[in-house]
Amino acid sequence: MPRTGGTKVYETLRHKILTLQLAPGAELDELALAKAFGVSRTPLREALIRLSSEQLVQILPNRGSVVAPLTLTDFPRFIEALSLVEAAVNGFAAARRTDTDIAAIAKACALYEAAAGRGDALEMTEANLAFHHSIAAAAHNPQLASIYKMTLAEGTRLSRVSFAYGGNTPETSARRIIEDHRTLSNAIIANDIDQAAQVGRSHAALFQRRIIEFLSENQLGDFRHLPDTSPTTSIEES
Amino acid sequence: MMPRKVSILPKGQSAAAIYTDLKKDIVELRLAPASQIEEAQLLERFKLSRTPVREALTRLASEGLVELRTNRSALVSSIDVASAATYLESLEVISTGISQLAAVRRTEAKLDDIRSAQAAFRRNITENPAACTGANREFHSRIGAASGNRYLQLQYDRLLDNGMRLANIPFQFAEEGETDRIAHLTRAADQHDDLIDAIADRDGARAVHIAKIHCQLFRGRLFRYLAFVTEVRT
Repeated sequence: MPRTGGTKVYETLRHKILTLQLAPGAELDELALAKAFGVSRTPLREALIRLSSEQLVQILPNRGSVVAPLTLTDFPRFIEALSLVEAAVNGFAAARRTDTDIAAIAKACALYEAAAGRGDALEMTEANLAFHHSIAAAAHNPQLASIYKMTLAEGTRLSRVSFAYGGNTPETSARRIIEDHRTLSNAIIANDIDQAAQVGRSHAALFQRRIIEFLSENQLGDFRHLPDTSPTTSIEES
Repeated sequence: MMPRKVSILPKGQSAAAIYTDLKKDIVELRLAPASQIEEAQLLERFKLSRTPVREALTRLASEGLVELRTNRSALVSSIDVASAATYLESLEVISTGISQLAAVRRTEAKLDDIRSAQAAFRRNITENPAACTGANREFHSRIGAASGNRYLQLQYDRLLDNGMRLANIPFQFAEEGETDRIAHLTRAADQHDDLIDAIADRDGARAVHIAKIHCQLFRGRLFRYLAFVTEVRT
């Protein structure tokens, strides 16, 4: 889309939503936002419509807009979609990549590793997106790239939740992610379609495990200080 | 002075109504690919202010049906050779995935929905061929609904909307002839029945296989259209 009045607003809002600076479910006050951006309501509405089309914003009839909630109920279905689309995109990238694509993928891969070295979670999130976008470009299929980018956006929000609210530190997941990224880059460079598609599926599975690990963390320790109420005494012993 | 246009619909709904009407015009090729969309005409036609019209165009642009341009009229997205090729590829990826999931997850109610859409499609072949493209879209959309995956379902519905434009191109193709057209649509309907059987049997692998063959049928018809040459002798 061209750079219309709403483009800057769209990009800024999208970034804030993906990085959870605008929390899932948060109300989006059109008047306040228009004022903050120094624009009229028309470009702001335009940005919100584009974001709602990408499922990042919900426009409620006559009741304003909210950031799309991030529900866990559909999480396994999300992974299913991610796995399918990522495998296809990676496969096409391996089949079609040009020298320019390879250079862009290698650069994006290195930038993620540099960000991981610094341990900055926000920077890592953005570098990770850029890496997968570079592969989407190498697939040379605009329709599939657009589907993939929408899917990645949802994944980015989920990933940010695990960093923002959990003990799931960037360092612990970075090592496994870097490993996958390198395998994937190599498969694409080697023109290995099956391997590239396979990494797409396992990368989605890695993401799924990471979120489950985050959910199973017990932030309060093992509750040793609480009185033991579990029925440990069996009938025979009493 | 122009009279001030007052919508009889509440805010939001008017944009939704324009969106639906315009989308129908675009996918049924009444608005030709690559043609300009004159905003003034839309304002006149829908008797609305500029804002809901812009909102509808923005939505259609997000879905790839319209191309917005800075300080110029919006365009109906063109259907060029490159975009048709990548479109068919995307359709195959999503439709095979969705057909497999539908085979795994379909409930009896969803299966009934699919069957009734198929009955409508078959009926239209002879009764109302022009309605077949829409009926076909509905059949596939219901398979999407049976997949139980809202992420893929949304993407599939959008692909199906875009695909209606491609599917409608051969309908404007006078040389195809009634017999050829019915033969093509009957073949499509037979494949639909096979797909329904696979989904009913919860046979994911077969559903994938048939979905692939079905994409090839779509591809083939478009290519036959592209390959057709009328010999002109002077």
